[in-house]
Amino acid sequence: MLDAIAQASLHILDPVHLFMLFAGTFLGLMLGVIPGIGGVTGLALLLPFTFDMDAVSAFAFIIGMLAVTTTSDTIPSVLFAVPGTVGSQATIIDGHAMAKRGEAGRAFGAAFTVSALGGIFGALLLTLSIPILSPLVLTFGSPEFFMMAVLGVCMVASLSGSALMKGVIAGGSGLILATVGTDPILSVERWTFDQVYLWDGFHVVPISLGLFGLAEITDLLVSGKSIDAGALGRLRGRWEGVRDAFRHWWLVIRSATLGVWIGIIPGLGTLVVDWFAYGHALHTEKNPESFGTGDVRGVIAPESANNAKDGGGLIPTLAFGIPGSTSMALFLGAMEIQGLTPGPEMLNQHLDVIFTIAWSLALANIIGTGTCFLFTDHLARIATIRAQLLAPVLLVIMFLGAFMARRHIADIILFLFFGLLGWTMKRQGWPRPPLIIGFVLGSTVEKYLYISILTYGWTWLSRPWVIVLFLLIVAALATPAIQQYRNRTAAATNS
Amino acid sequence: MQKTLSLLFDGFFLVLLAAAVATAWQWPFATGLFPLTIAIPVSLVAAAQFAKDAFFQGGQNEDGGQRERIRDIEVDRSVPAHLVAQRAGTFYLCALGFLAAILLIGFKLSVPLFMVFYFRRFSRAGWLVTVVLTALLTGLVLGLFDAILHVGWPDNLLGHVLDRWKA
Repeated sequence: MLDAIAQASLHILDPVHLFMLFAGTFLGLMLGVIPGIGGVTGLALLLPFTFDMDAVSAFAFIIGMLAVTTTSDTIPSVLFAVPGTVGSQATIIDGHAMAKRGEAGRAFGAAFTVSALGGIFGALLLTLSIPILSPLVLTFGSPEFFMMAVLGVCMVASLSGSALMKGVIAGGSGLILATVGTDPILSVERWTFDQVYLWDGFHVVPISLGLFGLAEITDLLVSGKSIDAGALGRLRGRWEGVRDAFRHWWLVIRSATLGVWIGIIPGLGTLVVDWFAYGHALHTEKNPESFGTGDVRGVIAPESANNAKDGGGLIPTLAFGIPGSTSMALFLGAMEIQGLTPGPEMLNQHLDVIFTIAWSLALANIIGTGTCFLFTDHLARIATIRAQLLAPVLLVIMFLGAFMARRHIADIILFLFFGLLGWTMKRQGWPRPPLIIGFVLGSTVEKYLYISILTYGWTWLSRPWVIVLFLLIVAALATPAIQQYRNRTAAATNS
Repeated sequence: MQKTLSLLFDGFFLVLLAAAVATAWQWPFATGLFPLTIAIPVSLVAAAQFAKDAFFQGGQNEDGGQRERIRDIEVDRSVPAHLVAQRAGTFYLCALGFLAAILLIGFKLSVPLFMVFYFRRFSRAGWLVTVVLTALLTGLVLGLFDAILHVGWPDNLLGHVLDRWKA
């Protein structure tokens, strides 16, 4: 163990390693800002370049890129309500509200700080967890994954505010949307209308870009103002954001832990980690009624979690060779290229590489955050540019992002449709987050439900972790109702 | 007006979910189980929402009525309704026009043309801003997406005609 630590320290300080880490990090920061590209495309792009590299340099390059796409994706989310990657959707709700209030700098300060803290926390858990967490990960099977996904769906209740019925309808419609395509058991086509495009169902990128990005740009144009109308004096709030991050340190740790755990679960990862953390903050923080109006805690929770999830995703990838997401599958490909086989053999023979990967992850997060921090004030000024100038630029970028999802023109049509739907939902007072949560979790819920029943019959319901998660689900459903009752009682007492 | 819009939107979800129940009912048990488990109760909730807006609540009021508090980015309601429709309609027409241009002449040509058109017609931008921003975005399309990522752009009518003409 000590040998491996010493070896990893030498690797980390190697100038070539540091150069590759910087190069990967800068590339990742750039890709994170452009909607629809993100880590997977970046990894696919980088893989061919790693053929001639040694393992340490190759992983530094890849980890550098992978670690920070969820740091810079905060920039379009906060400024334009356009999610840079799917992992920054929840940041929009409070981050963009802060930008509109003239607090984009503060939102960035908080988001970048907690991104670094979350990333370091994820790397720390990765380092410590290989021997400790591996047995726990193995006790989780499809029934527990199913219950975790159901827990995510139940967050619809808290994300709907007082419009619970509308939230349930939107969440249910999202779940139904997720069933479009071939079913996971018999491969029977569902709502495909004989279109090959629909066989794989809808892609999350055009839907989230339309639902949030296009809808917000439309609203911005309708208002005829800049994002941050007349609040120039408060743009320089980044240090206040940093203080916010440390003031809410306990929320950062809880969200980062949640992020690591979600990262471990196959099929969840980036898609829902931010919503899980946002929902968790809503359930557990005091005065949750300020969430959605530009509360910095609504930025801190998802941003801590989405950077920590990479550490979590690497645990099953390195310990068992099981990739939990597309990006981890590509990372596994990079390991194959380097002739490394993940699993017990890697833990015994290449522990130094695992430590190097974990520490590179932490270092990349620090570099990424530092770089973003340098430009915070300048970035915040973009919020003062008038809408008419921003709209065409953002529209073209979102068109490209939607098209890149599957390189199919139908994805652009889907994006435009969901843009109109999202804008109408917003103006009619319908919550949009439940729709996207239902959609991203729908296929996971269905898949794990079938696998659980086929594998365990109905006995899976009596598994200990299933019962624990069931109790958490009951708590998640009951909390908003209890909160509403308390608010009503308090209002009645006051009046 | 607001109540009609509200009811139309409720009706949209109700019809969608009812149609989902009707079609899923005809599928094999394993295929239809999950969609039906979701769609049946949710369509009942949608019906209840429709009834609530139609008979009990009087819809949501644009002018100060009690609006449900949702966790989403707040809407700027200071703009008159006719301007909202006009501005949103114009923007969506431009987006549809951009899509049509992509289908007709392809992505690479549409991007600069759309940018110049929008900046000059709707943004009232000067030529310098127009040229700089158009060049930057065209550079992004040609540099990152075309040269580095080798994106396979969708077929377009112009390319098709040129291919036929060459042949």
